[in-house]
Amino acid sequence: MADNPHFGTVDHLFRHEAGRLTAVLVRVLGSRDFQVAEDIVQDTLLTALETWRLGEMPANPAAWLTQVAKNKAIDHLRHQSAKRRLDPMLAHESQDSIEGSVAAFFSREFTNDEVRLMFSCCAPGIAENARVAIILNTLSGFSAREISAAFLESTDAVARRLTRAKATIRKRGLFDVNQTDEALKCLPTVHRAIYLMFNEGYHSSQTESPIRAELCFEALRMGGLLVEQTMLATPSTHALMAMMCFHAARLDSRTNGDGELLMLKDQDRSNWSAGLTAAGFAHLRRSAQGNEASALHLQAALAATHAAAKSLEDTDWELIVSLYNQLLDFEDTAVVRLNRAIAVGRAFGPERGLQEFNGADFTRLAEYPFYHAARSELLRQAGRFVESKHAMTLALQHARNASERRLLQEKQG
Amino acid sequence: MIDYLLLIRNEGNPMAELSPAEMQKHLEEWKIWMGGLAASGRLKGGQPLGEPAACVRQDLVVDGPYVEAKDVVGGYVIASCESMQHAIETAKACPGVALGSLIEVRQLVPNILE
Repeated sequence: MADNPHFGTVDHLFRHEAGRLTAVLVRVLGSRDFQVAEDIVQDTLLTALETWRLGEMPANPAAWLTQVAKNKAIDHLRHQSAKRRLDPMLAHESQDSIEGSVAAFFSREFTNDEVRLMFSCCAPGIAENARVAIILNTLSGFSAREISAAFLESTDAVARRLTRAKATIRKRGLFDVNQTDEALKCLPTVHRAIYLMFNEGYHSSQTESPIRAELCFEALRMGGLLVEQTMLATPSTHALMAMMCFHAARLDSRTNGDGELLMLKDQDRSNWSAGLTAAGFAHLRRSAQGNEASALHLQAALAATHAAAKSLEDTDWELIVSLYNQLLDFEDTAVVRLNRAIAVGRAFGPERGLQEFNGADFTRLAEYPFYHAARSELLRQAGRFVESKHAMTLALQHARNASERRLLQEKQG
Repeated sequence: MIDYLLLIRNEGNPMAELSPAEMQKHLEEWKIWMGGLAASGRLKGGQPLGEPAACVRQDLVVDGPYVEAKDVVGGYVIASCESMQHAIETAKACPGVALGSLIEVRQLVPNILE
């Protein structure tokens, strides 16, 4: 996994093992014992920390953690079975069968378990905004506190949402991803959750937070788990991966050395991650197999067009306009229209771009600073300086943090 | 240089409250601290202490690592230090301290004939 370009050099052993072990334990113990599974995982990581801090790290830490978790699971089941034996009405199991079945469960493919849990986290009955949180909590080892920091919400609110989501999973049981039809039917919902997780990281208004990038890379990792399952590696899954790879390639270039946001035109394109860009094009090729076309395909194509351009001027803006036109068929939103207007301005001149603003309803973006900034830029290019200045004032009024404000002021400067 | 025993004691376990990412960060801090001692040739030993544990006395044997004291020794480090003051400074830099561990610093009685 270390040489996988999606994960960079950052090693998230504890976080990723937490997800892997939770997924396998929820299957071994059953979704009703969600809490037990989570306790065993936390206990396992704690044992590792206590042992490793003063001693040597094992050569294969993941195998070490698996062994410890397995032992703890066996202890738990033995304890349960002893309790049950005291009740003559209930059948009892022999120690051998417990150890045997746990061992057999642990030897199976792990990614399947993670995917199973991911689908279970996206079950109907779990609110859309809770899905991202529950995936981050169970599969990415984020605590309620860490999730609340990323989403700018109170820890209590996140904790309540997680509790509700887990109750739903307990009640419904685990999703059976081997039921191909059911799995493919739910796949778009899972894509959406991964997409939201990525977006939360990529467009978060809380730019200073290092958690931002981690959300993006966790979304990539979740997408990667889908890709590993032949049945789920659909063209749309590849399109989602392509889109995320292209954007993630620019993640480091989006801020300068002081952590301030940079506009696309000011980004040093040589800093875009070549590995992630290449991975993006590889996924893009695989997304084109078959007849499937989706909003994800178009977003991937848009990101690819930017990735392929050597500079802002070199960008094929007419292609971008046509891709946005097609995207409107799938999702006619103010954000898509805004981006289309900017592209039209680049491709056909500022006046044409400004006309786009008159033709659509942008009231939903009235408080979005970059909506006003984009208008201001087009007005400036068109020589309408007074209106441009007014639009920039509105943009500054709605800036959500210091970094955005500085970015807008430089644009104005 | 004299060898000092640093006994790392915890009341309850503050590490249990950490998230996986925080645990890993904490582990990395330990690796830096231990690595620093090792790099300067001052690390003479160190081991985590775990289960099972028992306390034995003439009149009783108790399961577990403690009879009366509330805090449990979770591990130890033996470090060469210039002085007691130096040993205290060394213990203060131990990442466990920031998390609430109590470190008992004891000089190992040197062999006077050496």
